[in-house]
Amino acid sequence: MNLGMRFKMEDAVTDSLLLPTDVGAAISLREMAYSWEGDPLTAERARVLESLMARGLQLASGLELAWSLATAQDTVWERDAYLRRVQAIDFLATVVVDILTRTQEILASTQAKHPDWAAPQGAAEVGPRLQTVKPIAAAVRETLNWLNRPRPPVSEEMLRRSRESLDRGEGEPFGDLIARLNSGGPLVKE
Amino acid sequence: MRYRLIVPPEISRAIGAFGLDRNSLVMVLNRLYQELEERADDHKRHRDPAHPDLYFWFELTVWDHGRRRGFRFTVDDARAADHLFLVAAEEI
Repeated sequence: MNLGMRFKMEDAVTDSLLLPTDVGAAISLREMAYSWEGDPLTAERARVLESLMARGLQLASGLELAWSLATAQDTVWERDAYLRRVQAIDFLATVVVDILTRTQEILASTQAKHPDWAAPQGAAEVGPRLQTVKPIAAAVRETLNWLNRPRPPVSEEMLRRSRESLDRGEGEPFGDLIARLNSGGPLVKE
Repeated sequence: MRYRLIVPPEISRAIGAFGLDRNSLVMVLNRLYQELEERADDHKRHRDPAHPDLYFWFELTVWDHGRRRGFRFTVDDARAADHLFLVAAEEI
């Protein structure tokens, strides 16, 4: 498989499968968390709470995966595509933190009202998971701000030297440079 | 439209000064080659504000040993119709 195909496949996997699905699900789930009313002591409400909690934890895993793919060693991103990716992850991170925070509140208030209530399986995971995703959300936001930073002007000195070098006919086809590098040769032609 | 990308030794040296390990360097250069030779028309809208008639900017973000790094390449698309010339490479 050539490198171009690999880049495109990696982009397609996270763009078309992971993020839109998770972002859409996260929006619905957040609405569910905020419309929560009632008491999980009824079987139906218990099922809803359990589902909310399980999906919240699942989305947290999706967020962790998306961020780990977006920050993997040796991944090279074109700036605009990366900005769109990080914007989507930032949105997902905000919503996931919100869902887990709200779920934690529901669990705590129910426990306070009904000390004998047995919380659903996995409830103990919500707090620690929230502590895991909060730093991810902060790192994603910081990366988004970095991507939107003002750019310094180009070095006029470098431009001048390059133009002079090109005028002297010293330019090399980039394909030749790549071929030399791929065959173990040096970056700069000797 | 497909272009032929030309690089002066000055810029090859500037890229080498990024200090990327060989694997990362090969990944960056292959991406640069692919994007500029095959898809330059998608990137030409990012004009250099100081020289909008001469140059456009192309940027790559790389995760290098847990560190986020941004590289800007300045490309001359005014010198020839079917060639592009890499005239600056900077970490920003």
